[in-house]
Amino acid sequence: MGIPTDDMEIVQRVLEGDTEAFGTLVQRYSGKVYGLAVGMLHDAERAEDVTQETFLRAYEHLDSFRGASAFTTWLYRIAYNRAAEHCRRQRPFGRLDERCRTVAEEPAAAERYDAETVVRMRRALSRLSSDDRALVTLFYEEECTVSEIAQMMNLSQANVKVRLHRIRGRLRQYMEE
Amino acid sequence: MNDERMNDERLAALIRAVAPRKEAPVGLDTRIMAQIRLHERRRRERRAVMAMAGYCMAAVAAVLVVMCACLQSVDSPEGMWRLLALLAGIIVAMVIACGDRATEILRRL
Repeated sequence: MGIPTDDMEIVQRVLEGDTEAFGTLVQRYSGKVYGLAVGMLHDAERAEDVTQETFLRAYEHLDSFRGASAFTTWLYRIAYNRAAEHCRRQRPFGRLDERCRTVAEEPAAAERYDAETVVRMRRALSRLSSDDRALVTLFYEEECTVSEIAQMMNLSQANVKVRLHRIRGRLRQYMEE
Repeated sequence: MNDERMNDERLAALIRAVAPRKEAPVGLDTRIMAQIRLHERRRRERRAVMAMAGYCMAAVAAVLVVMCACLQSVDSPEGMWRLLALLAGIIVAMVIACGDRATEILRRL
């Protein structure tokens, strides 16, 4: 049998006992889950832990995925909950850790914006709460829709829009300070 | 830039530009799959142990029921010895049966 392309098809195969098929989902989405975790935690090691926990939990509860939403939405929801739990039980993040900072300081930002603007934006982002960071990561970086974010974070769509509006205001204010 | 408030599009572009890279570290996928395989193996082991425990408990209960029924019907010392020998035979047979079952379960793991 060839490699299935559809997520639901892969889920079905895993549920039928083909554990190795889960590897396709891991390869496909580990980067996205890791990205969300880094965005929320600003800590590469903890982000790796969250990524591992997310996939393990997804595997354990795969039978509860009915396909009502996209597999990524379901997976992101688990990742968001795991990362939020890490934020609650461990120190709050302040700055990007060394590994994250190194990759964040790639030329992409430096080429288009002056150094001061980049530093101000990083500082402004680091002042947001982990929940607001998750919203920013999902909406701007992962380009999820408001409806998907609402499902992942267990909020109403209106609430997501209002929070995004407030975050934008806060970021502008922090950057001007 | 400091003098004028940024519009939504510029803000979005700046957020994307300063975002940390989103590539999972090398080897993370392998570690995740190793954990999944370990988890699956442990789950199978737990199931096998539960199945074996259930089988053995049912076997022991059956032997006890037969033993009680037989002991109630014994009315002489000779009969008692014959009965005990018979019960010992049944117990040995059950142990062998359980042993086979255990071997089979272990082989399936």
